[in-house]
Amino acid sequence: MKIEFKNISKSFGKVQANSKISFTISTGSIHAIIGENGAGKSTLIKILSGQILPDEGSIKLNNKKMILGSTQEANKKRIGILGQDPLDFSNFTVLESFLAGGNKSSVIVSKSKIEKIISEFSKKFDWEIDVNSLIKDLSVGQRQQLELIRLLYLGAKIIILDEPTSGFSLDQKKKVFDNLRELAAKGYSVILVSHKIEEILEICTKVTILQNGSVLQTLDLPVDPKLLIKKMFGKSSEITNNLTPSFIMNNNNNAKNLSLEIKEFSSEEKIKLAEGTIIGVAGLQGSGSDKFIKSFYSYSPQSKVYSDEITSVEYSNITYVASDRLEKGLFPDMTIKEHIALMYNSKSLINWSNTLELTKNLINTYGIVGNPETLAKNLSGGNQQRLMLALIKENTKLLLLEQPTRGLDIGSAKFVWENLFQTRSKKNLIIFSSVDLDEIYDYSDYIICFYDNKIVSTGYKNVLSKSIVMEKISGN
Amino acid sequence: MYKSLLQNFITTILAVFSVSLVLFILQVSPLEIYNNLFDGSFGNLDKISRTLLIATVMALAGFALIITFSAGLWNIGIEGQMLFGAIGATFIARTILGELFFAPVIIIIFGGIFGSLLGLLSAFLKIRFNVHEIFGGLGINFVASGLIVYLVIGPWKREGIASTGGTDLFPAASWINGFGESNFPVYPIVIAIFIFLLLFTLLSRTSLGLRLIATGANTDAADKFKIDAGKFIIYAFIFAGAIGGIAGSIQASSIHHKLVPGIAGGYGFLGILIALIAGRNLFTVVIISLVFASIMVGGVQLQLRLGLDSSFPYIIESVFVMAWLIIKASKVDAKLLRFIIKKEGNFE
Repeated sequence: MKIEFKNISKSFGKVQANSKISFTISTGSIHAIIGENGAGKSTLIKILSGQILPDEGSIKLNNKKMILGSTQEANKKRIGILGQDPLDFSNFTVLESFLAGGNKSSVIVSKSKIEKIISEFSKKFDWEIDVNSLIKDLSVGQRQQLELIRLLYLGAKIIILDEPTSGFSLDQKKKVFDNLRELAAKGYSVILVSHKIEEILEICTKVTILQNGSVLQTLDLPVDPKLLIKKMFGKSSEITNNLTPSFIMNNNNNAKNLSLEIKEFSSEEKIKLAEGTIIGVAGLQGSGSDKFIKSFYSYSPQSKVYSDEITSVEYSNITYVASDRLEKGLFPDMTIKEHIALMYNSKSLINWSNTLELTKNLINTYGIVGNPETLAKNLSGGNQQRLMLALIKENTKLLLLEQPTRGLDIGSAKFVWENLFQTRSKKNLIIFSSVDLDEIYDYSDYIICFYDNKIVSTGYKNVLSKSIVMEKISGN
Repeated sequence: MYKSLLQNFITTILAVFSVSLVLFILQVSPLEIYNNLFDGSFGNLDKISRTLLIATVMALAGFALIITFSAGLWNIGIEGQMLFGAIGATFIARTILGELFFAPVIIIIFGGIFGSLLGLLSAFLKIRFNVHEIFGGLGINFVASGLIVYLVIGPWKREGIASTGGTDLFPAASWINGFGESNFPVYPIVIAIFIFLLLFTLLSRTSLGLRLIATGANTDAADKFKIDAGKFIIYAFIFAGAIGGIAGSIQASSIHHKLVPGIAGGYGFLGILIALIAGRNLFTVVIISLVFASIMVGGVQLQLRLGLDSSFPYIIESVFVMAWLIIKASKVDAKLLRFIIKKEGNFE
């Protein structure tokens, strides 16, 4: 289906999110939309899917004007969107959520039929989804997988993927991409919103670059990746990674030793490491890597970090940053200032003017786009993550990060890591999980590989090669 | 704060307008009704005293519920907590303490303690046995009202009579009297103002209050901020129960001067409505309580003077609540306010 955007404009208050956006997506193509965080990608997608009514402009599907601002119309036109944060009923089982949202018209639905459909799709993509598990117990990746299955089952003809692949393993990604190519060949239109240049180059046929709400250029692919990055970030395109840590053991000889006690996950009793080490936990979605991260965070944790033989790091010195920012990490209806007060105010009476000063400082330091009274839910994903960073207290000895850069563009991800490296100099231990092997290799000193809820391999980065890790986390 | 107060003032005017419309349709003159309501509730010092006393009890119930609402809890057990406060008051009034010149102080304190104990029971059921506070609260309300009936016709029955008409009157020392010779409820008002200031400070200035609100806003995130949600749920119920209990003890020793079945008078349930309407705004609770109390007290007059059905006050009340909720949901008031201050951009 051909999609024509014509002069789409939308502003929120003073912010011009989209300004006179015009471009065409041709039938059977896989079209990428790229741009920095805040370039206007999400707004455009929401306009196409009917969630937002634009101030101006029109969209034509196969030369027919579409009614804008109506999700029903979008459904009728078979537009399906797979979002960054999958929206579904968290207390339902997989099967129930499928039954509730999935059936097209008939009143009576056959459970076994749907079970079959889910398992067929899962097999095709090589996914493991238990139809009887609760949605809330699934990982973010599995929920995305489920959403994609539902879209295909519902017969979406235009499939919008908004930062989808962070939840997929390499193999799974390949299978998904193969299927998307197949669909495109059948005349489906696929729109991919992504920050990952390699992905775009691998699968897409065209790319539209957005900058500050307008179209910068639409290019035929393939092109030189460096050119794309340059265009995407404008002047500030120095994304070469000069952050890669020089190997910690070489320059930190007098660092104290720490030991990790991780009985639940490993036959090895303890792992000994120098303080200041950054541990990357590699594993696919559902491999248990996130569970591992969580197991350190509790009054009486399953896994512990000992600073010497007897004393373990206290709960009050542990900070845990959840990947599900709005659901589990922040208070959607509370302001930035209130978040700061909750974390930094230790007295029983709150001094709001001091808090306001501190909030302003932190907003500046972390470059959060918002003011002290902005509600957390009104911040963009990248800014929510910046707020989370601002909430990491100085006395943190153990910093646990679950998928710290999920959904962030390269610039924001770099910012996150720059900040984390600063914290690292303060003699703490950072443990983070990521499904992105590049991230693991770029930023960690020590790597722990997860498969099927067990640690399958550990080692320093210079010892453990990427290909080995890839095999280990795939269960070989 | 001022903005939201002004906004609620606009909502009140719009809601009163809607009530007028309904009255008009029912072919009664709204003006006459309001005139009578006002005269019936504020016509002389005695009426004012009565209205203010009832408004105080309602406002206290509303305050109690704002605490639990802040923590994300539906404290349906408020009615029971008020009943228990009244039982606590009666318990003291019947002992030697009830003869002391400062008996009212002890009565209020014990009312608070009794109420908070019942609140604690709701919290305990919720945290320990995972009983939702709505069901726990409903059950507790039944138990509390049953207990009163048992006490009134059982251990605390009047000499020689077993009727549900209530216990013996409290000794005079246990009465919370009006100001001087009048019935003007100065002490209940002072208590309400004190609790108002306390809650205002708690919710806007203390970390305890902020954590309470955070617990209600997102329990999962509270964990990441090292806030023990269970602890704050307990605090919320203890606070709310105590305030409810105080309201109950005021009813016992200031209005009835004895324990009667159903002494809470449904003001607890009304308090839920008031808190729902007010959001988390304590000022609005006061305004709505005054409106409701004047409808209740002045409403009696409608029947007598205008020959209207006795259900009229309730019709007015319910139309008022409905209109309020519709206005809030449609954001007409916010739009009107924006139109009035004409300051765009920095207003949500």
